[in-house]
Amino acid sequence: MSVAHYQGLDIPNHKERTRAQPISTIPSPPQFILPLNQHRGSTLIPCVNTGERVHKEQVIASPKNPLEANLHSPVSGTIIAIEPRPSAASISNETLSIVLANDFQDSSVPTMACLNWSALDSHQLCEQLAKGGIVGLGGASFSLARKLAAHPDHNINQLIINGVECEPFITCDDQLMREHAMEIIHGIQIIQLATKATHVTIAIESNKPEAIYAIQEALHSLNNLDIALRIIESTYPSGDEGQLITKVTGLELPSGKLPAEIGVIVSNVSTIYACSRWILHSEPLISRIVTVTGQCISNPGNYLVQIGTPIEHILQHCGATLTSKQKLIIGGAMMGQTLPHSNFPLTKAINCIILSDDRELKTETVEQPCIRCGECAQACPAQLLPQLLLTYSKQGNSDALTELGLYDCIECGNCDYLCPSNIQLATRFRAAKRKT
Amino acid sequence: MGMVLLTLTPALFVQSIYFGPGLWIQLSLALLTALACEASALAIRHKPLMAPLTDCSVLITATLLAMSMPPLAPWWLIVSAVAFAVLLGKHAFGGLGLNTFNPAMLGYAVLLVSFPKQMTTWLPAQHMQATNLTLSQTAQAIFSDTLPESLTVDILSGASPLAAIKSGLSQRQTIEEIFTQPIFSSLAGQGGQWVSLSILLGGLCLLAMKIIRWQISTGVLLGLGLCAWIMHQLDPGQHAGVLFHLFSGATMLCAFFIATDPVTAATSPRGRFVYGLGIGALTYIIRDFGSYHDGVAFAVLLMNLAVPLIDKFTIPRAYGRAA
Ligand code: SF4
Ligand code: SF4
Repeated sequence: MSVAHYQGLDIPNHKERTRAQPISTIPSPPQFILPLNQHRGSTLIPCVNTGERVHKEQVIASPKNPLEANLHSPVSGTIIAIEPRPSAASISNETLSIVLANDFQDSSVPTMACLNWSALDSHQLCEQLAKGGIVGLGGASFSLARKLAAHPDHNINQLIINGVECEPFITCDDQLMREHAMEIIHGIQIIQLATKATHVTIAIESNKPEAIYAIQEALHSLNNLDIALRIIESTYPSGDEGQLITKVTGLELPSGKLPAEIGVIVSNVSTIYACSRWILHSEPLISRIVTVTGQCISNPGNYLVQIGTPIEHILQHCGATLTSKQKLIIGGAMMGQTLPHSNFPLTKAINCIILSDDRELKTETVEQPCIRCGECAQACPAQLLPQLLLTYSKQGNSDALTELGLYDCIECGNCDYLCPSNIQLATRFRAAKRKT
Repeated sequence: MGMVLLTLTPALFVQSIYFGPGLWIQLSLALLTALACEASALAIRHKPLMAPLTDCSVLITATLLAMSMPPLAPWWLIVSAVAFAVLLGKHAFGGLGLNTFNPAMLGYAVLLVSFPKQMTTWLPAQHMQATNLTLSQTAQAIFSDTLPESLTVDILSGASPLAAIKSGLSQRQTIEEIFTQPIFSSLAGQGGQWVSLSILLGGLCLLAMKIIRWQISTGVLLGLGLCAWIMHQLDPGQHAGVLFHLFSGATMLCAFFIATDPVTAATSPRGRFVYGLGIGALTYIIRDFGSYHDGVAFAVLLMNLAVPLIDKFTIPRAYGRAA
């Protein structure tokens, strides 16, 4: 049985509300909160002190490892505190964060002279990317430099640019490709140099014809014949890293391995865009595009938002406030997480904010016992048996869980979506992974 | 699961046309008993009532049992079968989702072992039609065990096709000779074959709606069909053919409505196919070599027991894992 033939699920994509909404900017808030765990890996060390004045784009926290990404100040202003605050990266406990008061001057000092990037070798390029604060913006938020440099001895022959965006509700990558196709292609050229990849493929889901067209046009006008465009059928979760690798290369990502170990690097279009902004325009990663959507948002759209902006501020700008009956979700309806309140700041990882009520999301009803119907197993892209994982996670049997592939679960949420008993399997598996 | 009940209704009508209105009385008794037992078990176990009562699973159990009962069987037979199924088969194991055995088959098997005579006295279809029992006469037969004049004890002991084959073979008749008896028809038993066909139709609807998946049903039919084919090839005089087995007894009901109970089946798709094959093969073995006419109930229960073993050997290869 070949896994490559996994069909994916046809689920309502809810993208109509923000599809084709041009990217607009949300004005800066008076105060920013910048958690020091912006990306997976190490926690950053602040390099400013309380009371200090900072410029826009100044580095305010940096990692121990030079391949982890810096954190920059989104505006100019004064550091008013460095203290634990709620952060979406770990909802249960607070994270050390830099709190910055905006002076609305936007005074900046030139950060980096424009590089002659084509003269750099791949290690130097990686270090530059880390300095610019570039992390994966597709949701995983792994430092890009670390991803590229993780396996210098592996030959990378495939670079896959992920513009699939299969998760329902989210349209920010779609819009980005429509508006900034050219810059994305420039960004790809930079990453191609950094990885020395022989083949480059941009993968876009078939439900984004305008984005496909824009990318095609850009490739044409640059007369670029090296970059292949691959249209992926729109099922969920075709944009998952492993699924995408299999679709594009026919290879299967072995359990527990990084794509680089089989000669593949996958990177999101928005990450690529951020690279090109940094390397070609010296703009570090201080803002990102976020889709703000859902039934309870009066102005849904794709917004350019500065990192550190309180979600409360974003909701206000989009004409909504969180009430007790609504559900606030970050990162998409399938894989995202529900936030208990809106007192969280935007981090680099958050690509989507949904405010909705039960009518639109799968209504939260009471969990019924598992009837072992097997729907979850039919829908699992990792070919696991979620119903057995459920039994063992209730028993806390971590050996059996590992044996049955808990760590191969990509937390896509297909099993939850189909379960007739409304069991929240993926949520449970996410928690079980943290525990074992 | 209401759909499952809905797809069974054509078969219910066909069965009542050929075997008389007794089915409706058996069905009503079964449904009432099932609801009463379910409600009291939930109450005793301090569980919420509404969701389990509306999920229909207990009604399916009741309907399956009612369809398996001889139409004139005394009322206490169906009542105790359903009570066994719901209380012992389901709730004693911890309720929906936790039972090891198919509740309906557990209830059926317990009664078959305890009251073999009452459980196997099927009225042949053509007698039912000749005597044309009214609903009240049927009710009388079921509740007070008194039969109208027109029905003789002789007719009452009439056999189902599967039973007729058994007794015929023991009297050294060949299959061909046995098939000349009036209870047989082109495919299988008179009446019975039409019930089987209408169950098949309902089952195909369930498949089309993806309420059940193909693995178990195909497994059952294939397991039984293969065994029947091999034996028929070896000695057509002693073993009935494939079509007869597929359309006799509870084969179709088993393939689409009994064995497909997900709770007590194997877990993975591949495991479910193996599970179905096992049920089909065991059904044949019991029919052909055992002392019971039909083997569905015991075959299902035996394969229920084998589920952990099947599961152990049929875990699918996860993405990214070497075979
Ligand atoms: S889909 Fe839900 S009820 Fe069905 S087997 Fe999976 S966990 Fe159990
Ligand atoms: S969340 Fe995990 S177990 Fe559930 S379908 Fe996705 S990969 Fe499979």
